[in-house]
Amino acid sequence: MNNRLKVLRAERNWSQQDLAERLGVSRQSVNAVETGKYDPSLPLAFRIADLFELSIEAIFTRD
Amino acid sequence: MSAPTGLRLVGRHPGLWGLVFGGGMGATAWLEDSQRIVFPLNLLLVGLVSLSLIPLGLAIRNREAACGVNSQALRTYNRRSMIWAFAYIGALGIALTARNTWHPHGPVLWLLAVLPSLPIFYFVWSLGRYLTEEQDEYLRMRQIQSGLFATGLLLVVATFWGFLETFGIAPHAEGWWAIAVWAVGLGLGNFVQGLRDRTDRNP
Repeated sequence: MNNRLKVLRAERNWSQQDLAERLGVSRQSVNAVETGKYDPSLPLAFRIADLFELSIEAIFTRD
Repeated sequence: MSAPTGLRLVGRHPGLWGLVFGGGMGATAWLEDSQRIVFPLNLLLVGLVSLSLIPLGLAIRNREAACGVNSQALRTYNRRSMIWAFAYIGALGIALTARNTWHPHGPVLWLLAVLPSLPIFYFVWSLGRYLTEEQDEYLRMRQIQSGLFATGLLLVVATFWGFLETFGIAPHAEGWWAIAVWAVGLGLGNFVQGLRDRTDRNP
């Protein structure tokens, strides 16, 4: 699964740590999701989508 | 996020303290096995080597903080790990000392034999509690993967050694080695995943 997390972060000038703190997860988790190493659960995907005020499909796309 | 100032003082990589602990325990086992040291010197040496668990625990906390891991569940799990590790060493020391000093029989001997395994029950419980309490799903998945790796390693080692024993090639290994092999597997699993996290870092 691909995602636009890095771009969305950059638009807001957030580091991975900034995003992690906003989501209430570790920076390692953000890194794993962002680099496609880990696909988040639906609840976490919804939290990410809510934070960026976008739909899940606007952030995560199929390979 | 920077590590709390107090934790920086202990410094060093957790792997260094892990090597100190593993190497110390290995050296103690070799010295005892080759009859170079006997009770109670062996127990004293185990106690001294075990003290390296304190800087190891602090170095792990330091490393976690530096890596942006801010999990209360993980801190609780690490604290519980310290408790069971020292409880295990203490229980083993008490049991061996009592057996070698008073040479008990019957129910007392049973009690002493069971005593060192009680902290291991606590360890298994604490691991289960961690998986329940951890709110960060990625960290939880990592721990589960490390646990599966450790279980796989234990199955392979136990089967391999078991057949060596069956064919009379290797000496008998006591069952309590299982937890040591499993703990090594858990540590290896965490170490490899930590390395993967570092190489994939993309801030």
